Amino acid sequence: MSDKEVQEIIEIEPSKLLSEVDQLRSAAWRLVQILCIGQQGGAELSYSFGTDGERGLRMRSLRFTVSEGTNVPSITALYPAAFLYENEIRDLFGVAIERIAGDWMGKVYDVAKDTPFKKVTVSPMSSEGGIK
Amino acid sequence: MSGENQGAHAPVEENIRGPSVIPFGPQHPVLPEPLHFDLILQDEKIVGAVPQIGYIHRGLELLVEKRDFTDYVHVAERICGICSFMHGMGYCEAVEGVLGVEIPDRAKWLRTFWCELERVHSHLLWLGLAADAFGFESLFNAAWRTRELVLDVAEETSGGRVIFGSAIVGGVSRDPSKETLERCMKALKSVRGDVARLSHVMLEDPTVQHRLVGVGTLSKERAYELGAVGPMLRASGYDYDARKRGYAAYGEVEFKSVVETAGDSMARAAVRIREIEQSFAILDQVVAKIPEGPVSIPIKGMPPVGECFARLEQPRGEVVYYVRSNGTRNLERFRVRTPTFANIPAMVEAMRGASLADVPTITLTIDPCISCTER
Amino acid sequence: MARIVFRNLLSGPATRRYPYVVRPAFEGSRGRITIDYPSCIHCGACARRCPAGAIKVTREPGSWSIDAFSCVTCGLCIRVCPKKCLGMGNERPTAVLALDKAGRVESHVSPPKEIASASGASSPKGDADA
Repeated sequence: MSDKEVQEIIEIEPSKLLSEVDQLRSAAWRLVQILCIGQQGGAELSYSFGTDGERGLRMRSLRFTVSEGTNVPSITALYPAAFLYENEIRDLFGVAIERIAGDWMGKVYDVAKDTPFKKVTVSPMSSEGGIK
Repeated sequence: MSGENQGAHAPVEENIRGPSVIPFGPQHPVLPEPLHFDLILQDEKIVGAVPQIGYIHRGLELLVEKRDFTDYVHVAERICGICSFMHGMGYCEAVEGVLGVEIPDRAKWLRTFWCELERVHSHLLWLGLAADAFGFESLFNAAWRTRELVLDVAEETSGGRVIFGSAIVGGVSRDPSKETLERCMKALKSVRGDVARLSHVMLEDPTVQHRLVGVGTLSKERAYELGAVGPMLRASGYDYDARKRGYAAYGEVEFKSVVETAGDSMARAAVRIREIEQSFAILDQVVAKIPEGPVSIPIKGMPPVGECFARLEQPRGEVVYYVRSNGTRNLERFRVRTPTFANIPAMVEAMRGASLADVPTITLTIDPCISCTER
Repeated sequence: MARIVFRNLLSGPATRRYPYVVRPAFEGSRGRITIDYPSCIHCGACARRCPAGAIKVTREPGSWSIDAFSCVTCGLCIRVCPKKCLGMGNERPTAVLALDKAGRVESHVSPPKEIASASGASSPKGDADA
């Protein structure tokens, strides 16, 4: 990190995602990345947008947590390039993102195991197995 | 697959035949790494392309939970062979951001030296592959032969030709002496002459211009909206270079970003070739100004709980690293958003309207590094 | 154009005729890992941290081995060894070695230790710490 860049992480409500992203789009911010961190029983999503030029070098990340099974709206209507990130997050983490324009139906990486990056709760009995 | 991005299908007008679909890749002589497209053609013109990735997904991001955070740099370096030093360095920068440590000055300058060396070798590699994409094999071999001298310099200073292995958390692991660095810069003089000769062929030769000018044009607004980064964005006229952040020693060297306005494949070629010359100028400044001192600091104990974003400029564009630590020796999450990942939508858009024979050229103009994309 | 053709006719091929002509390695090139075996205490730190899993260490009987073709010459083992008994040469193993299974794995085995006392109460030194 350096002094010339300003980075900020803002927590938002999941229902406000589309309106916040629309505001950034009107202000001509660029989509930098969409990040997902698997957690027990859900996931934490961070949408990062960047700008430069007269506003200075800035990156703003919108962050929220969803629990398993909650639907997240897709931002491909506003940023069409987001389809790659959203497909990957849905495939690897199992977050239910709906209405992606350009949907690969779960075949982005076509791995042997479904949602390999998802954190599953390990039940205490499974590792012991049997009676000692 | 259901739908494609932007939903652009050519209307079936007078033609009785509808559009035809031709697969491109994953094995193709021009592709350095496997990438698949379903090209939707109306006669010889592309009206849409559906990309498909996932042939070399290795799940490297999951491995960070199983390895010590100081050891993982050796795995991060091997995400990709061409941009390997910057992956290692980006990981180290993000971890050092979480730890809150400042590396010694000499380490920062040495990292800059190796970054620019990597940029030179990567662009020369790209020059060869782009020439091969439209059939100019002798330029391909000449560019790669020139690149061998750059790889010799890399081996002499860092020990490895493509995987430098010199970025570690806390600094760098090697300390080449001033005489070694000056001797290497002298050896690179012949490379500069070669690059001038090759750039004259690539940019001025009428047969090459016939293949590159006007092919795959992307306007400035479209390139920005689609999230393109790196030479793809700068060739369309938008000036954004992540080196302006001032990481490593970039705050103290002078350079101007290379911008072209035409937005076609020739402009992208020109941006990369001029970037090679710019990298040599930066290397000269680095070797002249590098201070003496230690090259690494010891890293001990558990990292604090925290997270960090780091953005670097790889040869292909802006790369974003994210590291989150939960207080143990294994990190919780490591994420790389590589430039090719961001450039794929722009590439698909650039293909629209081109003819089938131009598809390899357009694919190569984003400099695809699919190993990075899929980690 | 004619000048280039003439020059190419007179000079030889641009490539090196490997394996008859071998390029000498640079002084700082990364190559095979070397060990000063008598100093090794078989702690196993290098084997645990090796990213490629190329090193295998056993405590009793003491042995240390490295598979030269799994090794990626990252140098991590050299940095973590507490006795600093590992080093790195500058020559990589050649392709010929791949066929010779015995040659690609370098292994050292300690001679068996003798029992220190007749009562057998004390174990030989070096194996006492778990």
